[in-house]
Order: sequence, then structure tokens, then C-alpha cells
Amino acid sequence: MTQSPDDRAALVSVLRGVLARHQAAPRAGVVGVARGIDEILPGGGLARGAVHEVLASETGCCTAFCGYLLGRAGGPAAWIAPPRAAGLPWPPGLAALGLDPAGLILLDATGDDALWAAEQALRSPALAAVAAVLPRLDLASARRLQLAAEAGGTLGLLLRPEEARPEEARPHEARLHQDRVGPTAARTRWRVSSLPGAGAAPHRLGAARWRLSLLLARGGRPACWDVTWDNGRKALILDETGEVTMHG
Amino acid sequence: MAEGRRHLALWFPRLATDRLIRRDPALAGTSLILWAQEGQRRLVTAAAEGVPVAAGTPLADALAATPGLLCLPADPAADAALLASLAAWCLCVTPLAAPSPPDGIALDITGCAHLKGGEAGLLAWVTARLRAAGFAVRGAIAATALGAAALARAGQEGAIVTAGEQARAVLPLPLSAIRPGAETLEAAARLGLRTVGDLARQPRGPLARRLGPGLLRLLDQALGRADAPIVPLRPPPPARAVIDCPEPILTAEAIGAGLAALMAELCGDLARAGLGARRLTLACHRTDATVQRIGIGTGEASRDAAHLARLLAARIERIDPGFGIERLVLAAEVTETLGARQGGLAGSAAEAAARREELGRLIDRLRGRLGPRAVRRLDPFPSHWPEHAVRAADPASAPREPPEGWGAKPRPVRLARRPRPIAALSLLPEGPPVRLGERRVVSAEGPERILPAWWKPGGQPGARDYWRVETEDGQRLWVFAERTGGAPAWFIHGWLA
Repeated sequence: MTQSPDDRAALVSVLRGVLARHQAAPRAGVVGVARGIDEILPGGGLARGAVHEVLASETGCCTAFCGYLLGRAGGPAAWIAPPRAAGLPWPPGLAALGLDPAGLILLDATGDDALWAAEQALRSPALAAVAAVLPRLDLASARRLQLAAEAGGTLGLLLRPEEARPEEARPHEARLHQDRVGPTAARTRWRVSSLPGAGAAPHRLGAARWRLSLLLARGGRPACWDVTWDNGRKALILDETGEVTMHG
Repeated sequence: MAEGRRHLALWFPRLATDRLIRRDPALAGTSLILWAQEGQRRLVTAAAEGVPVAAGTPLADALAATPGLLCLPADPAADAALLASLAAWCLCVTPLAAPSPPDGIALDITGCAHLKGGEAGLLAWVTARLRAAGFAVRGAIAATALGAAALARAGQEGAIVTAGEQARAVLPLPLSAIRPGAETLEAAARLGLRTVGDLARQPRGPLARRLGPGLLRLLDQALGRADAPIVPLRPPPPARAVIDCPEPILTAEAIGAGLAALMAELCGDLARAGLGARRLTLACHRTDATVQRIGIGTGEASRDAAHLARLLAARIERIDPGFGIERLVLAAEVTETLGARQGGLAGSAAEAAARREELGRLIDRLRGRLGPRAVRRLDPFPSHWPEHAVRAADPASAPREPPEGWGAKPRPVRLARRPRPIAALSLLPEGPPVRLGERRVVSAEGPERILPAWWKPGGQPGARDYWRVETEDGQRLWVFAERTGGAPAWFIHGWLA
């Protein structure tokens, strides 16, 4: 088949269109967590256009971790929580973790309204990231949210309560193999627990230190890290020791 | 004078009694009169059809002269409200309608008459509807509003006169038809001037000196020599679309279908004008001469028909169709310029604008279901008191710049909705807590003393000593001791990173 110059021009314009669609379609890519952690994560970070679960066992460090990730996503973010939740995500504190108060929209919703709002927010290309407190989430709804996130190219964080853990379990110990939340449609599942502050003394709290446990990762492996929040550099710094060995 | 304008005037001779009879049909056919207190006397203000009592008669005289009268107090405010709502219903024939108190309505029908088959058809349609709704009404069409009003009050029923014929039609009318006011009317009667024609034949200079220039102005308006534009009930909206239903519609589905068609038309108009709607109203004109309205506002100017129709559709259930809706009017009450959308390169201004528009649409949707207060942004606010460091704001509004030093002090990432009391133990009077409830405190940093706004009136809370503590189970909390004399009361106020 021979092509006239006209046809070639048409072909070029069609290909340009395809290329533009591919470039525009999802704001593909990942949101980096921290240097040293991203290398282990499949794709080199937390994938956008996907939902990730965070087990909300400890209020303070979970809120901080999610706020930090929303800020890293770069762009407007929404936080969906029941109106009677324990507390309000507080911009003066979250600003220190790099989350711009101008880019955070708070939504009061619970039950079906919260699921609906999460789906709407995830599906919208206007938001870069969405955090939602969803106590009850069945597998079908979780899949819906995953599809919505794919459609919008949005980073979704689902804060879910953890079932009661055995009495003897200390919060500092990530119990990787005793996963009590059930099956999931999420790309990764995290648990954040607090560690004694860096350089803590009876009259000094020290910099915030967390243990980040990656319990599940689709296409990756579970892992566990200890990190410190460096307020000067505004970054999560991985401990020198690197990855923490997992305790069964 | 504006060339070629046409005005329709409606006059309700028995507005006040018709209002009461419509509300209570048992009053129909009775000898109903209304009275009002005027100084020391009670005067009759209105009488129902066929009751031989003139307005202005003292109530006692009327009762003595006519047996079996049913007397009720007049309510001028309710009459005025009724007149305004009737004028609002008249918006279904023209966007320019105005009540002309106490008992008339003026409509500017320039260019509207063809919709009802000419001026005669329009006049017949409007009066027939109002009569069916229980009002006695007379109408007339002329070139000026006052000319039409004079003809409606005193002229032939259903008079329609052209600009050229208007003077000849108005001249024989009694002077009271142009409503010059009681004193002027009396003064004119003393001079032997009883009709509009008597007045028009007088030399203007002496007339103005004796009876005031206002009467000459009325005369010119009545004869079509000068026009006074009517002040419409509400200014005509920048864009609107109308559907007349061939049969009165009753169901939400039918209203929804009409809404979709209207929205497509309206958004087309907005796109051509380069505008976007900020507020939309759907007015449903019912067969009983009342109007039902639903409205929405949007955070960002929009002319996305599907989006706007979805927002309005959520409210269709609030419409009470009564005996049927015969006309739907969709109006963009408030608009803003909205440039043509243009696809652009990633990261360009056009793409940022498209994304902002998309965010506005998302916020509108969320507010539609969750309620306007459930969707908000917390803007920085210059206050040292922890609870007041942010202020809820509309997420669609422009963000506020953080004030100097805002967020510089260590603050919790999550704040309790209200401080939670907790039993705490401290070893020193102003020292840090060593136990919080059941938990031991392993380290405590502070205190940061925050004083209430003592310069404001009203009961103020006590001073607070804030401590940042870490408990033995690893929680980092923001706690404070409130000192109002005596032992401090301890509260948990937030969770730290």
C-alpha cells in the first residue's frame, strides 16, 4: 500500500492525538514516601490511580503519615471523616508536615454518604489525593473505590480501624503475619506505629519517630522501616540500619 | 419616548374581597365588606360583587343602610403581597412585569404578543387565566403604561389601542382614571375639569401653576406623549429559556425532561455570550396562577449542561405541581464571564483553569448531597487561641494567606473537637503531668502558657498551660492544665505527630 503525502500527514496527526492522550490521561506515576523506602516499593513509590490502606491504630502518627502523603501528592486533597470522629485534621500541625492548608478540603460524611463522597472525590481528576476514614468497607465497595481512583488518577488513602489485637502485642511490634483486616482490593496496606522520639529525655520529646510496616504490597514484598521526621529538611529520614527485620 | 413599546395593564376591581373569597370559598355570595380604622372612624375600604356600598362610607352608615352585611377587617399588607405574587405569575408572558399598587399590574409586552397569537389573544389569555383563578380583572393594551391603566380602569373592556389612537381613546375618560391623587382631583373638580379631555384643552402654563406639574406629567403619559418605563418586579435575567407545555405536567419525570431541554438551550446561549451561571432558578408556572421556584448556586461559573441539570434535578421533588404546570422558565440569575474552553498543553494555564473548573463541579456535587456546611476548608486565622487558629471557609473561595508566624509553634496534627477531661497527676504545682489516666508519662515538654482573650466581653476560660507529652504506650499527646484557682483541671486537646 502506497501512501500519498496527504495520508502521511493525516497519520501523523492521528499519532499525535494518541500521544497527547497518553500523556494527558492519568497523572501517572507515584508519590514518593521516603528515600530508601521507594526503592523497595513496586513502581518506586505509592502508585497514583490506586487506593492504599492505612491501619489507623494510633491516631497521632496515622494522621501525620496520611497528611504527609497528601502533601507529597502535590495538589488539592480531600479528607473524608465522620462528623463525630475523635478529632479534626488540624491544618496548623499538618502544615509543618508539608500539607498546604489551602489545598485541603474537609468533608463530613459517614456510612453510605462517606463511600459515595470517596468515590466522587477519587473519580475526579481535580484532586491529587483523597484520604477517607471508612470503618466498614466490603470487598465490592473497595473494588469500586479502586476503579474510581484508576479513572481519576488519584492517590487514595483508606484509613481503616484495626481489629482488637492480642493483649500481649506491643504497639511497637509490627505483627506482619497477623493481619486482621481481611481481604482487600488495595494496592498496599500500611501500619504506622509510634516509636520513642529521637533524642528523647524526660523534658524533651524529640523528633517524631515512626515504624512503617508495609503489610501487603501487590507485586512487592512486605517490609518494615523505622523513620524519623526531620523538621528542618521537611523529610522522612530512614534510619541508618535500613530495613528492620521482621518478627514473626 | 421609546418608540413602539406596548404595555398591558391589568386592574383588579375587587382584589381584597377576591383574596378572602379565594381563601374561604364559603364567603362567596355573601354581602362581604372590608373596613379599616381611619383616625376616629371606621371606613369601608372594599365591598364584594353586588354589594351596594361605596368605598369610603363610614362603617356605621353602611350597616344602617344595608342589612345583612358581613364585615371583616382589611389587610393592606396581604393585598400587596398578593399583588406582587400575581405580578410574578405574569412573568410567564413577559420578563418585565411590575405591580402598580394598590390594585393594578403593569406589563411591558413589547415583542411578546406573538407568543399568544397577537395582542388580543394575549390579553384574552391572561384575563381568562386570572378569572379562572377567582379574580375579577379588567385589562387593556396601549402604548404607555399609564394609558393602558386608565383604559383598564375606566375604558371599554378589553380595549386595545395603537399609539395613534391612544389620545382619542383616553380623552373621554374621567379624570380619576389617571389617578392624580385625591387632593388634585378635588381641586380639578372645583375648576370644572371632570375628564381627561377637559384637562388637555386647558393652557399648560396656568394648569401647572394651579394643579402642579405632576398632573401635566400624568396627562402626557396617559395620552402617549411621554412614557415612564415600568420598574420591573425583578430585573430580567441575563439568560433564560422557556418551555410551554401543551398539556399541564404533573410528574417529576416530565419536569426533569423539560429541565434537560431547557438546560441545553440555556447553556448554548451562555456559551455564545461567553458567560457561565453562578445561580440558576427554575420557575414552574402552575395553572392556578401561582409559581413554584427551585434554585441552585454553583461555586464556579459553569455552563456544563449535564452538571447543572444534575444539581437542579436533585431538587425537583420539592416542586408541588398542584393541578399541573403549564410553563417552565429556567433563568440564569447570576452570571460571570467564562472564557471558551480550550484544550492546552499539560501544565499550561488552560489546563489549570480546566482543573479548577472540575474542582468546582466536584465541590458542587458534594455539597448537593452532604450539605453546604459538610464541605469546607480550614483557612489560617490570626489568633493565638488554639481553637481559633483556623476558620471554616468555602472551598471554592480564594485561599487566605497564612498570617505571620502562623503554624510556627509545634501544634497537633489532629485536634479534639472539644478538650477531653482526664484525671492527671503532677508532682509540682505548675509541673508537668507524670500520669495521664492509667498511663505513665515518659517525657513531657513545656509548658507553653496561652492566655484567653481577656479583652473580649463574656465569660472567658482560664489560662492554659500546654504540655507535649509522650505516654508509656507511645502516644504523643497535646494536653493542658486549666488553672482557675485551686487544683488544675487537665484536658487532652490533640494528637501530635
